[in-house]
Amino acid sequence: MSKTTVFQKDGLILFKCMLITIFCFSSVFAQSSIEGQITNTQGEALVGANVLIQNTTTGGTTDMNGDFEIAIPSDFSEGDEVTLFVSYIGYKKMTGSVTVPASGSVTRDFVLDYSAVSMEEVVVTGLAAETPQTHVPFSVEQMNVADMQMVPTPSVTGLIQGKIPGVKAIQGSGMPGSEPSFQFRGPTSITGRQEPLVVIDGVITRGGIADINTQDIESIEVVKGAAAAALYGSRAQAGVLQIFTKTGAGIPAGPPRVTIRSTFESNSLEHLLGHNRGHPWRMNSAGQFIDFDGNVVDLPAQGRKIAYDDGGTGLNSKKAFADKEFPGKTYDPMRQFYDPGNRRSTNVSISGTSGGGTQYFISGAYTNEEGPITIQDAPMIQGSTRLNLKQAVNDKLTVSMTSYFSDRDRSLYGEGGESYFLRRLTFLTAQANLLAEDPNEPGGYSHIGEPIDVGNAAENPVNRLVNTDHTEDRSRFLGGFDATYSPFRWLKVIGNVSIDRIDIDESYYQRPGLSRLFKTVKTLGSMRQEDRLRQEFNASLTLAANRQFGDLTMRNRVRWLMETLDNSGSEVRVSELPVGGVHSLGVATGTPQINSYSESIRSEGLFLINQFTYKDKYVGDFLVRQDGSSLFGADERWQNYGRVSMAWRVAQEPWFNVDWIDELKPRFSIGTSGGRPRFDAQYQTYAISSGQLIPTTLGNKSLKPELATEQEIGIDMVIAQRLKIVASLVDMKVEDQLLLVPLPSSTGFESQWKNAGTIETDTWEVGIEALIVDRPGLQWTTRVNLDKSESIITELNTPSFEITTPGYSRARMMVQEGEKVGAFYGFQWLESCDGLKEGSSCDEFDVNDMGHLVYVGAGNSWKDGKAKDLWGTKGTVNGRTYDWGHPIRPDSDSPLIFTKLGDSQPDLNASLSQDIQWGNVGISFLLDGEWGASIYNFSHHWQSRDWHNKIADMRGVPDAEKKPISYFSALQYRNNANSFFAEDADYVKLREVSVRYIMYEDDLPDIVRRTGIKQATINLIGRNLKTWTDYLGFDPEVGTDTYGGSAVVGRVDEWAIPNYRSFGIDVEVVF
Amino acid sequence: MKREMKNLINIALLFCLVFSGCTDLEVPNTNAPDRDRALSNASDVEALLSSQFKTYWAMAQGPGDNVGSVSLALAAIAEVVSSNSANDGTQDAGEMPPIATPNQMGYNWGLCWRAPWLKQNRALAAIRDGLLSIEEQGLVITEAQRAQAFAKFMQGLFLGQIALLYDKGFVIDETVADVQTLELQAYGDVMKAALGYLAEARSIASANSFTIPSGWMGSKSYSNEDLVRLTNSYAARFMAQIARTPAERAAVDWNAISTHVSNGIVEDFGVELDGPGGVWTSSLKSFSSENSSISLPFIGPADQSGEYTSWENTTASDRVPFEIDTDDRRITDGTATGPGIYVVYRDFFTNMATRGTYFLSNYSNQWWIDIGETGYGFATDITVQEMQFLQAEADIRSGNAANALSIINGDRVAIGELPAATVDGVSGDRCVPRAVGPLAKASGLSQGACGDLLTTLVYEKRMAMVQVSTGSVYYDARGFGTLRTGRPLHLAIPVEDLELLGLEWYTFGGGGAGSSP
Repeated sequence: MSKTTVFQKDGLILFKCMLITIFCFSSVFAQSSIEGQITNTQGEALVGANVLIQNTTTGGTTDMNGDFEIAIPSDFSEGDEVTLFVSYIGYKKMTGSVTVPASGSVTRDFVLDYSAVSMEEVVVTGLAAETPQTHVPFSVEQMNVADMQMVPTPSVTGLIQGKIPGVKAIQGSGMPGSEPSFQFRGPTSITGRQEPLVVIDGVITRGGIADINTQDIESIEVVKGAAAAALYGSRAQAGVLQIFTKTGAGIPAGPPRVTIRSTFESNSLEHLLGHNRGHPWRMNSAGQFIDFDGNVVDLPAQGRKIAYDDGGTGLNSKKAFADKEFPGKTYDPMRQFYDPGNRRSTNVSISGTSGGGTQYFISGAYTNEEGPITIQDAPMIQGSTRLNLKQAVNDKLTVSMTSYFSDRDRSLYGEGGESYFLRRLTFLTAQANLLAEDPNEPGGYSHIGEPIDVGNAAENPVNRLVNTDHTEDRSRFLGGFDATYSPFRWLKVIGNVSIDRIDIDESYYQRPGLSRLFKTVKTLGSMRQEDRLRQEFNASLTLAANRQFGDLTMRNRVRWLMETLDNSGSEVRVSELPVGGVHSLGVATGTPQINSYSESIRSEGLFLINQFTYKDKYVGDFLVRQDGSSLFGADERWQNYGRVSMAWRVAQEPWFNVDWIDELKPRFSIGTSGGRPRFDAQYQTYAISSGQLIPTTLGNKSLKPELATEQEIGIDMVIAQRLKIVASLVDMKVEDQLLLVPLPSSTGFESQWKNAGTIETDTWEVGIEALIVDRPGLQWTTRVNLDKSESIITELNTPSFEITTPGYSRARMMVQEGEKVGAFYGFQWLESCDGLKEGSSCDEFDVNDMGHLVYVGAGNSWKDGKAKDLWGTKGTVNGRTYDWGHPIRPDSDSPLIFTKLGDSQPDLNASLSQDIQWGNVGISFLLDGEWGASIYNFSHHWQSRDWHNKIADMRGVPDAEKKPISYFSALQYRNNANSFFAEDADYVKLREVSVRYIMYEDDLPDIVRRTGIKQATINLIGRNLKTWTDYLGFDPEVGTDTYGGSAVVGRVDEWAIPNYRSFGIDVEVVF
Repeated sequence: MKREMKNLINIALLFCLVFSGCTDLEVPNTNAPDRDRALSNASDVEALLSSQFKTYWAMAQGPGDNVGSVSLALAAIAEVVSSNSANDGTQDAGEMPPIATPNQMGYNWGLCWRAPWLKQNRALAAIRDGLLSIEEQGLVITEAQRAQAFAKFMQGLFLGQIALLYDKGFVIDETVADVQTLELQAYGDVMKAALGYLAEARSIASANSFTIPSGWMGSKSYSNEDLVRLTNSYAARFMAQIARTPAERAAVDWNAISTHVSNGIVEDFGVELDGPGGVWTSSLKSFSSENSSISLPFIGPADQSGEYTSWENTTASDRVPFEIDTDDRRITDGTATGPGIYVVYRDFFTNMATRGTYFLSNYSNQWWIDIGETGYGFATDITVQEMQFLQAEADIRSGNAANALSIINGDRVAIGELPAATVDGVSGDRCVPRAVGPLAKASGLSQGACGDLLTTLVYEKRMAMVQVSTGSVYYDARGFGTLRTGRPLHLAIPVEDLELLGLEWYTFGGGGAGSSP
């Protein structure tokens, strides 16, 4: 379809929405009104409480005195009963009825009970309509803005981490602006994306959330399972994350509320990847390094010239120990390279309700986040602005719009991505000074990173960094328009259009003339320019009918929706720049390489949902949905989804007379949702490269989305208004797994996307919230979340195969029946004699302090190497020769040496948070941890190549336990993933700390109050302050989303920029 | 009520109106063609066929993608280059004692062994697609004979390379009805098929006049006569190199090889490289640089100091590098550390001692240094000199040794400044080569003895064949018997394909099955 056609279609939708709007303007004006006051049990007026006439869109908020007045819609007649629904955060919801008078007003006051622990929160995601948690038959988690403001966080990840059971969020990279990875209730796909569907103010987007200003967020709803998410059909098997931004609702008509918030945070690294500070080389009496002939080696020196201190040829690494101190000053390359800078952000918002009833929220934000690298002077800078409006045109029509624009500039730290630098850092000895000045280029950094063991990989990453500009400019517009027309009290027609447009310009420039290691010819320089444009357009039309028939309340929705996504980009690479400082593609003399792509996705769906409540105790929900998408194969263009859910509010039964149980709701839900194929999966493709036409992917017209069927059984309880427990047991089966299955090469094609497997996931999760102390002036709330998920490939309709990360580590995942999703594979060092060649005697082997089986010879132990001068010797057992004391690698003449090394999925996730509000002082903290998972620490693995890892540092190690450098080099094992670097990922993290002081208007000095300030908060904040872990890398929260579809599954630590801890101050002033 | 009904009808009509604009869910993939679009007309099919030499070139000259270049691994197995970098599988290839070729699922460098299998089988399948398209769609290619001859030439090259490298292969061509049910054939049968295709190409090219345009095989154009000569030369190479053992090599039809050689190329065949990032590159030749090492066993037979003999007689893990003493000016200038024409001495090691000191060598490979430095230059894939060496070998094997002397003594005298060999080989106190290590094993001569004529041919030919084409020394080495004991004679079908085809796992080398004796 041409773009013109697409826009014609989009235009048609807009036209239709306009028709709806015009149609809706048959207004009927109110004749009478309801007024009243809302107070709490202490008689204090509640400002900004919501009042809504049930089953209508008519409502309002209380003013500074707690008063409200609502016009009664004209289709109510005198004598009709009108039910008001009243809500206020932290208080129990109330309903109350009034009888419509002939004219004038009728008064109805409400007194709300405080309830820090309740299930009164209203949620909407995955449901037919706004519904209190008490009436939701499945698990929907909500976090309101009050929770979030405890510790202001720059990212949505930070808002969620550790706060919802069953929800895992990992920031796989500490690079500012990088996208987080989420996983709800375990992996749902073997290789596909694990990310939930993200909805922002009703706008469905795959454009990421890293650039969303968290200060704009009012609340977040999380739908974790496929059943609950069935409403979203083929995009929602991994759940739904819905973000609602502020609208000005809850602020009484009158002067606007102006909020200014400014945050300063200082960032630092807690853990560093360790580093060997010892060396094994031969030195003369003057402390100079010498070569094999005893000559002093002038540094820096090319190649491996310095002799090992092995007592012999100088080449025997099996007798060389890194137990000597370097002469002169030593450095830690990690510490020299990484030094996270500060983060400053300022947010200004204006919100309120105009005299004409327009609710508005306007905000502007500016963030400056210095990069994590010492000399990096290109911080991430983001500016954003938001305008949200909502207007009741009359008692039948409400329109609203949201718009958000952000612009972000950031450095990407050079070509090769984040891995480039740490890869080089792991080659360096403690003698390398990365910040040394280049004598030939005053003011510049030396291009030689490593003066001693110089190979072709010892380039100084700092030098490369300062001679490279790699920047990204990303702008985004996110907007939506809604019109809700209510021709009758029981019926609404809702039209919605939304757009998400992301424009990214990326540019890379490396200046020519850069010195190269021991080469006279300097680099020629290169440039790359890339433009990417992504535009998502959604439209929907909904009929919503809510009716009451005696004790039966019915809420029904029929919705049609369409989605389009256009994704395109182009890239030009050039080399051989004749002069420096000219960032123009045209000046290059090398052959340019040009690439472009364009993809278009079209989808359409229709669903019908019915939600009922009988006698306010029996809750049910039925849903059917049909989805069509251009992503599905031609023979499977339309797919069906559905859900049946039910809940029973036992505590509302007249016979249930346990007074201290306020809510007891067993619930059951079963439903389906899906996971879509990627754009090119269904197509047969031939790659065209340099004029070659190469068959690549065999198409599949029968390709369909993954189908997740989830059964959730749970119970929700509120006890004595002090304790809330939400627990779920979940069984999920995801069939038709989309797998890129390799094909025998004789077919001509490399692979084919097939629906070829099933995974089954069992999850249990418990969330407990307890109000420990609740008395005037002091509230202390504790929350505990626990969860565990396990996903297993239960069916595979293709021979088992492996998938790998595309990076250096090539950590492996085996796709085979019976294996866990997220298990990673590699080679196993022998740990017992069981792995020896059949018939080998165990007498000459021992297990050392690193757990490795080693050859020691008859009568010796692994500690005898130094004492008996056994290092460097060999022994032969059963025809195989072993190096004394070294780890034993598997034989290559066996096919069975590729084994499971670990699981990326933990046995248990747990978090504990405490919120204490004592008068004006608030204290909160969050501890978050996981147990039982492993990480493949490839950064450590790579470092072992040249024994530069900390464990190779033999200084201070007793002679009996010393190991030569060859031991650690052997562990690198030709860069093959192996058991030694599959590390324990257990951790407990002090995720958040906040100590704040709030001054309300009455607390403020007169002089301050006269400026119009109504509230001021000073908040000392800390994030990731302390991590308790045995993991040897920077941070156990690490992963790559290029493996297993998510950093939560792909727990491979491959040179990622580390996450850091922050400590700072946050000041908020409200006018 | 009436008004309510009217509104309801209006809303229902609106909903219907919206539905009437259902989205078109048929979206084409404009980023890459499918078979129908790729092969819909004659020029597309011709483009498909003509692009196949680029695939062959990538295979023959090494794709240089760090994990998939068997070219360097074979050079390491044959002990031409010495590299204990894990990259390109060279550490595994040069390991001492030799190990079985790692053919394991999950092995990081498995693609080195697998890439030629995948890429060449896919190329054969693509040629089949193209030829079937012509037949099925009745396409008329303007120069049908040229396309046909070129397709057959490429089928011959791909199948020939598969037969050289693997113990079995599929014969994929347009006569195969279903590629899913193909039977594997032994390497000898695969080579027969390859030679058949080369003969077919030769027959078409002999009977028709055409020009292979620039771009099909580098920037140069070729006549039909050129193609005939190429088919002869590649056939000669394949027929000699298919042998896995000296006995097999001795048994090949040397008369036929002579005929092919005499009808073969008269100038070196290759491609003018177009620089880094270009279409025509050669990682095999780019491997030559000041940072690479030449294997000590490669130059060791020229050594007169006895150090190489000691090196060979030392347990592999205890071997340390030595300085060579030789009169061969290709290796040194006559001093211990002075530069030779092809080899230069470096006072440092590029390899890591921690991975085995037997890998260490102070000598650097300079054969293709210009190409290595710049990425530009003429990169050969098959040379006249190689053909002449085949003829020389045929002469020796047929008892006409004297005819072989001119080629054996060519570079030897002119570049190496060595005394000419005679029909008896070489002689004298400082004879080059000496039968040491694998050369002694192959020749049956005593350790350190001066080489006979065939041994001298082996030495001279491998000097001339360094990094010319994939396996150019390795394939000869197994036939000459100079492959070190335990090295693999060929490769097994890659493990991933064994899994997909439901076949039993196996590998070669390391002293087990398929090892050099």
